[in-house]
Amino acid sequence: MRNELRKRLKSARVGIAGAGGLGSNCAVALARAGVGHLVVADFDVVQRSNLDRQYYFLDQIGKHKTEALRENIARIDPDIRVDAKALRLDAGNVAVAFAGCSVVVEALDDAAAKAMLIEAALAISPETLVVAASGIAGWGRVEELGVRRMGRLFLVGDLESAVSDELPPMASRVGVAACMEADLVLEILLGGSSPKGA
Amino acid sequence: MRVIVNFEPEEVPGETVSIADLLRIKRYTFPLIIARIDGRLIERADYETTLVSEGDEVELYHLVSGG
Repeated sequence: MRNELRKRLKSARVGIAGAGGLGSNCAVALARAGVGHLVVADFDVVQRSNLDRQYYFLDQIGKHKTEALRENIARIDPDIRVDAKALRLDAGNVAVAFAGCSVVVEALDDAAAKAMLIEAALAISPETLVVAASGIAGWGRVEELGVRRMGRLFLVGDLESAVSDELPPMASRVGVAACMEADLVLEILLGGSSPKGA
Repeated sequence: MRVIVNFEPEEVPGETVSIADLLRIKRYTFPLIIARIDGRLIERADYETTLVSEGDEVELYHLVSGG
């Protein structure tokens, strides 16, 4: 059974739009779980202020996040293929960036960019599945970070907690949401949840 | 007419309303909304033309910043 699961994850290709708090932590969770091929797109470079929650290190400041993430995943498992795409995603390049991905994870920061990505990714093909997040800022009320399954779109978050001065993104809550996104990807790739207590 | 909006019953005027009407009635001004009727995802381009009928379960979710 384990071998069969491992094979399925190894042969999967998953897109990750954004390599910040959600994307970097989600990518690492997927890599550790054994997903064989990740396509990560982000235009940004690592800054010191990112280290409070994103999966990067001091000596990576100034590097493109996609390249830094590729390095970090290679240190976990060099056999995992990471396509690092240092580009700003827009409605015109999403389909090309994530061609061949059965699932695309929305891990962007800005609400308008999230909406763009969800629409563009759902339009890649009638089979493409999208895992997105909305409402992950702050701390506490972690039980409110629900999962909504709506056809080909899966949504994580409390749908309310937008980032603001009072509600900064925090490593713990963003990390939970990132791992919830990763877990939904596994659920999709493995054809459903594992049975309770098995 | 009575419809269910985000799991709460809602009384709206008329026999049918579009998703766009419902957003106006609810004063949801967020441009970034995911809309479903009875679990079916509605594309944003279809908000004006997609009608909600008596008893339909409508879900309207906001996308908010943070990643």
